[in-house]
Amino acid sequence: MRDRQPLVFWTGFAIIVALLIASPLVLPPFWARFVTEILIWGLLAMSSDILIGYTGMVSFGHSAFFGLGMYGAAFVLLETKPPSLWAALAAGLLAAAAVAAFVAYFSTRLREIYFAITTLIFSQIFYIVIFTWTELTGGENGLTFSRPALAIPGLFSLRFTPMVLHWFVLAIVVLSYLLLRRVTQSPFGMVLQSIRVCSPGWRVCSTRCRTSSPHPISCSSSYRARSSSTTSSAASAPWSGRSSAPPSSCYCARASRVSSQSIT
Amino acid sequence: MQWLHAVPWDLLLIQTINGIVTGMILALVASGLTLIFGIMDVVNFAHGEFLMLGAYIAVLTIVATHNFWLALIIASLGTGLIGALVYVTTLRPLLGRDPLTTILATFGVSLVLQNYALWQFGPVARKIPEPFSGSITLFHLDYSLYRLMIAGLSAAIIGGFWLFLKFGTWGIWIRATTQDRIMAQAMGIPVPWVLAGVFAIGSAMAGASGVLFGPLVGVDHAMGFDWILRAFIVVVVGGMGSLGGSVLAAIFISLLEAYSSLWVSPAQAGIISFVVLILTLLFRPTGLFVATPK
Repeated sequence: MRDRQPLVFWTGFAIIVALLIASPLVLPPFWARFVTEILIWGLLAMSSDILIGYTGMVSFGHSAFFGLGMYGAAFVLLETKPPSLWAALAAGLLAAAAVAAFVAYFSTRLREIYFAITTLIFSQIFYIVIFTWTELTGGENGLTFSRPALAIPGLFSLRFTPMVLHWFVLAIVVLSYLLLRRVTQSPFGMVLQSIRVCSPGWRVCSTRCRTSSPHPISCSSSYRARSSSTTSSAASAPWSGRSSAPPSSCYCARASRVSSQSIT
Repeated sequence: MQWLHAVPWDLLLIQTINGIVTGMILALVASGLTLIFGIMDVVNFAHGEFLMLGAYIAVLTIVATHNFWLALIIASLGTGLIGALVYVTTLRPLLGRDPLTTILATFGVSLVLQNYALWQFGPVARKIPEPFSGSITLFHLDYSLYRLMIAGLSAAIIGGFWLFLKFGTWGIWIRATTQDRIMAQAMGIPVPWVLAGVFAIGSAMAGASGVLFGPLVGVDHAMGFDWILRAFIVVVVGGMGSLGGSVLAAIFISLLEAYSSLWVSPAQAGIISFVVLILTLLFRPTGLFVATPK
């Protein structure tokens, strides 16, 4: 019975992916677009699941990384000539990961409610900074850019029709899913889950590993695991932000405010 | 002595009074929050929504009766009742579980209430008229009498509440339950009622502060969010669960924001209090205004 479980899983996975691939061909345009949005939000949900679900750290600042990923990508699209999709993707990931590392440095020292409050405060700080720094970010209006082509120089170049966009998003979502699945099953993923299940116990274990830890503080490796969890989960958030880059405007992420506006 | 002339003394004076006035309202919001946290370890993310609901109830009452004071009383009672309802339906089943579940639950309640208000009252800000106008002259500056009245009233509510905690039967029950819930139950204190009562009192205080602050800013569905954030900062900086610490921290934070908004825009002044919070959390997580724990 147990041997058949992976088979069942992968069959189901293949069927769902096949349905999603076929969906823009059969669905009316509104619903096709809707499915694309579902995929993008699903990616965001996966990324915060790493943090909240696996590691048990409730963060209210996740949308900030989503928004900063979009801004990072938008800057690159506006500054480079000709605009390159891949550079924008990389910039979005880098921007969010760098900021997340900064946030994690402070917030992962704290636990539970204090962690939740700190991440919420950080997302508010970014909100205010972006909102008031009008010369750079466009303030309330956001940044407007035209969508680049999906292209590999010398090989091919495709314009982003809704269908191409759907498949592009789907590819990224599926790849991220497989990557995150691999991560959660790796030793690192086990560490994340052990932090959730028993945080004090994990700190005791990490005391034993002190010799291998570059930091003298016994808890540091626990912190490190937590911060890298924040970072990696944040790094996957802007993927979702970026895959919605074809939108013409980019809004700041305030708690729930990123909403559908940024996707249209 | 040249620098003495460069300091804008009149602005500093106005900002000091402004800071204390805002600080008193903030203290009123935060004391309800800190009370709820102290007694049942619940971080109430929906607290700002009670403030918003209080303001809306006041708007409706004023439209019907044209009486600000009646509106203040009805709004406090109404939000207290809503708070008790929310507690019984949402939080009581979750008590004793991981505090994170109650965070998510109250966050959900806050989203529901906020969007309910948006659906019911629309996005246009309503206005509560000031109960009386007029101003007094401080040195050579005019200052609105209503603002001073808010500060006084907030101080009176907090003071009355402190006396209630100190001498009232329910107040003693509340303090006993905060110290040791199981022992309190063993002594015959009706702990479930005390918890519901505390949640109702905290919500009523939030509702009252919403009504008091309503005339100064517009009443809209999102007004709770800004307040809840600052109230959290105050509660953490003042020490979670400490009433006196919250009042001191509220005035401290408000003065800091008031002074810094002399030089930067008010939105950026908010960052200052965020930085204070983060520094407090890093170096003295128990709070600035409480005694060092043994």
